[in-house]
Amino acid sequence: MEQKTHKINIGDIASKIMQPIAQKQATIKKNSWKPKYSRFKLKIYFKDGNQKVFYSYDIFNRYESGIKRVVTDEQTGIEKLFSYIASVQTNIKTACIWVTFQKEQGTEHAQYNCEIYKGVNKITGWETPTNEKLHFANGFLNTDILKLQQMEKIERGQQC
Amino acid sequence: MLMTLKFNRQQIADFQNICSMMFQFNMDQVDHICFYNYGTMMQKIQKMNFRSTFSDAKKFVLKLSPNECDNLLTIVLWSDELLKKTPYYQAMMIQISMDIQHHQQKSSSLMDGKINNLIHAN
Repeated sequence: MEQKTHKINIGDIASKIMQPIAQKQATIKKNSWKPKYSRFKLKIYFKDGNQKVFYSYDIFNRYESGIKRVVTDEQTGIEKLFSYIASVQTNIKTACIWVTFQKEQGTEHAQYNCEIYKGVNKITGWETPTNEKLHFANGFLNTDILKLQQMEKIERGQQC
Repeated sequence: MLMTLKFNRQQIADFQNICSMMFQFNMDQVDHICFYNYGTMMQKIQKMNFRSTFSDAKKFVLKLSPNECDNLLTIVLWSDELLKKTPYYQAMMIQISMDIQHHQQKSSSLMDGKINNLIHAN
């Protein structure tokens, strides 16, 4: 008498179950839009466990005496990020802002490796372990000063 | 946990004055978030002052968030030189800062207690 045996591959079943979830995640990632070039990156850790990433919008349109112009202003970009932090400050744990020195490479390839701001929400109040002073000239960030500060910190043996 | 500050009818206008003076004195030092919080606090004080003109109540209550309290404390610390010139305002601000510090200690100890309870429960 022959016995019929069915081999069940758990990996295939798991992949079949996970397929719609993976598709949905891919669409969400596709839909999340970020600017081509941005100087600053903000990451917020919320109290409920969520975390969000925002990029600064440095290039925008401005109407000057009825004429539409494309303006690049990094100062307003970071101000918008700060105003967002201030608006959700009660619901967040920490907020970090990083700056990139490779803005020309685009947001996808640029490395945001220099921390300029860190805010921690504690019971007693809002604390800022790192709060670098930024220098702007004609709407552009002076990156040379930041690089020098970073070099000094490395020489002293501190973390950037 | 919101903090409540109680004021007499006469004190409200004085408190508004000294708050705006302190802010002007430390305009260059304030952070963006500090600026935002202090602005919201000033709006609350202004509303309270406005309400006081139409009511017969003797005492008024101002509710502040922990971040606003912290920013107020820092600005009081920064404007020490300004407050030294005016003993009346100095006494008022010392009283308020003492209340805030007491509230902060209380809330932090409460939180410690909660954490300890959680640790023992686990």
